[in-house]
Amino acid sequence: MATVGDVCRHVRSKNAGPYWVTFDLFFDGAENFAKYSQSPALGPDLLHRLFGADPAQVKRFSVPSLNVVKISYARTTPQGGEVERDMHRGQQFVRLLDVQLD
Amino acid sequence: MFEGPIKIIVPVGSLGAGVVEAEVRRGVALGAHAIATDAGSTDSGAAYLALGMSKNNRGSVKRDLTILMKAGAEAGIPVIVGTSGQAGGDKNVDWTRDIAVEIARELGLSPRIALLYSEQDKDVLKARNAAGKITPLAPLGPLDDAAIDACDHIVAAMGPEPYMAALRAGADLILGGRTTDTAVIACFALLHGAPAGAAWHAGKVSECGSQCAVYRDRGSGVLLSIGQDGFEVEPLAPDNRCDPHSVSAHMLYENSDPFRLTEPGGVLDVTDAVYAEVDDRAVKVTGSVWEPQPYTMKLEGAAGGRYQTLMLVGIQDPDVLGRVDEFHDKMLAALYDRARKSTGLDDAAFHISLRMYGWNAVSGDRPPPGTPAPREIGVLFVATADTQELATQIAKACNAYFFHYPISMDKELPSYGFAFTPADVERGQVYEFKLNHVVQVDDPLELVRTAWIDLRKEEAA
Repeated sequence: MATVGDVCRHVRSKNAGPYWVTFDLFFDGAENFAKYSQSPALGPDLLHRLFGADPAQVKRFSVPSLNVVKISYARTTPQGGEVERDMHRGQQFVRLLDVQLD
Repeated sequence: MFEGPIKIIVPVGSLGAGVVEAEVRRGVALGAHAIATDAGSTDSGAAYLALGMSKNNRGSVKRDLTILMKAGAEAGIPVIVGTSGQAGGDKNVDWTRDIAVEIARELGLSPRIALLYSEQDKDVLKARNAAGKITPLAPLGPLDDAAIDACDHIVAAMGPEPYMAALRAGADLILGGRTTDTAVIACFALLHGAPAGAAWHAGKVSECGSQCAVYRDRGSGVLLSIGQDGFEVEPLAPDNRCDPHSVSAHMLYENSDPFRLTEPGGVLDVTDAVYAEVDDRAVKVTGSVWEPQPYTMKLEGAAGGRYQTLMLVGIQDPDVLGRVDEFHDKMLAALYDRARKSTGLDDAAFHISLRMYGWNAVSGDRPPPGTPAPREIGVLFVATADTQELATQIAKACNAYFFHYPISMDKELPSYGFAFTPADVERGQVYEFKLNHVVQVDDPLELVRTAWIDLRKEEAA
């Protein structure tokens, strides 16, 4: 049983423009990247469950040269809106750390 | 005929963030042909566009721009600044212009300054929209006039062409309005015939200055060298270095797609880019591809919404800290009740939120049962209403409840730790971006206005 936090050396989140949020999962090596980068646990449903994202507005990329998986989703609340809690979305990665990959 | 390579100093990630003079000198000594940097981003929210206000303070921007203008004048190379004043609206450009003119007078310089404005007239945009020239980007839908009217300011993100035209016309200093970060850096090399894939990719890699280097805390800028077969990048700080990983990883940063970046007039595709070590400091990148597309400019519009007033208390009372969620819910209900009775407003007319810092303020999620009690929490009270006066009235009405609300009714009233007097802080309006659309243009300059300040002529006159 491995979580994202177990097999990544670094996970980060950030705005990608005012309407998108992007996560970069830096796996700790080629082995875990190969094993987990295609994991269904990192699919659009995860973003729906954790962030209320529209699964149709989730993009996912593998970057093998960096052992990175990038996941982006369309923001569900406006940046800087009345109930903003994370203007730059820099803290959103924390919810990914405990996601079970197998 | 491109003779290359073209060398560009990117001195800093954002003008005002801290240019290092020795780095700029080093870049000039290494044969730089131009200095280019952006001065803003949408990343910190819509307030800066809505208000025409800079995020960086005037002193910091003046300090950085002084170093760049002096170096540019001494070396006889142009200084190129995009997205002036954080948001690149007309007011943001004019704020930066005034600083530049002040610097020129203080240093006895007489540059020809080109001002590139890309703020858009609402009627022009409505007409373009009616003509089918404006299309939405996900996740937004088609644009309507109401969204245009809601905005305080709207800018169109420029590509490199207005900068190339200003350089051709002899600009020593360009202060641009909203522009893509990459275009600001790519424009000089594109003007001189550099391959587009290399020029654009170099712009993307260096848009945050030395963030594409290995050590984030060493130095500020990078030097680009854009040639026929690719580009090289190296940090300007002697104790930093770039490696293939640090450079390629920057394509991930703040991009929703790590391979394809849409720009005015095309898409930069780095899927097949190769990053190779040149020596222990520099990386060479080849294989970047530019795919020309119909020319579009991205629109950004910022609008002011309702107003907010804040209060903040700190709580260390162990009775509260053992039951934070229950405390939150009960206090919020009591505050709503008090605000309703005090103002006569119904719930739709105002909003109160409590953010429990030290517990769950960032996520708003309920921590799982059994989560240990925190040592203390900060509770941020946010009242939102149609006017500042009303938001403050609500805060004032809630003050005593926020200060004393007990977790157990059978004990004496507690008093929580206010940080300030007066306790309420008027925060101003809520600002949001309203547009995520592109406008198609036939000519990259048709929505851009260029103005000139020629201090040489002013001196002569």
